Amino acid sequence: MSAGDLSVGSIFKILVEHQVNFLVVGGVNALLLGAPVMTFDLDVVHERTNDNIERLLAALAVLDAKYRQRQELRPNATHLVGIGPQLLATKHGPLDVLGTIGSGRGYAELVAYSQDVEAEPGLVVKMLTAEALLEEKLVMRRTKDLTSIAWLQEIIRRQG
Amino acid sequence: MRDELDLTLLDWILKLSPQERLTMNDTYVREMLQMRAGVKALSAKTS
Repeated sequence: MSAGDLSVGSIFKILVEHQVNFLVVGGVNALLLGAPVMTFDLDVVHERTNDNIERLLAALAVLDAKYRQRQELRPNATHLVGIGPQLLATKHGPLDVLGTIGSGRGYAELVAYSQDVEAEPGLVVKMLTAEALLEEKLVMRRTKDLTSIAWLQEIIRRQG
Repeated sequence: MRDELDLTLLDWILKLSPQERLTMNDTYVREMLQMRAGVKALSAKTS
């Protein structure tokens, strides 16, 4: 695998094997819902409890995670307990670990608005529902989100 | 905005499994990175 290549399924597998509680958000969330959008990284919101951070750190060690802008630095518990984004490079591609997203909500507030998806046979992860992801994208209203917003509105319309 | 969407593309992607959607994205990223490396090499050669 070359630097920058992405294997979302491989990252999921390691997070699930370590029993990390996380929600898939961002572009991969939109894609899993069916939106025709492509993304260069995987965004996840993690549960910021001590136990979960410990499991996440073990998974990140297996993923050989380092900060993208400071490769000599590796994430630790102090970084992961905060709300800020941790922009990491892993052996399976870029991974953004987020304490909160656009609305300021974290895992504890968002998990009620999530659904399970079988990303690969036998590999189930949680992601935001189309409605919840749309709500977040409407809060952020970044230029890059405009296409995703339109796709999500269409997907929700079809879900009826 | 809906008028500007390629709904045929959406129909097609909705028929794929989540795993196929992820594979499609992984392939897209790999090809974009190869293209970027190719452009970089070419511009280094010509400059």
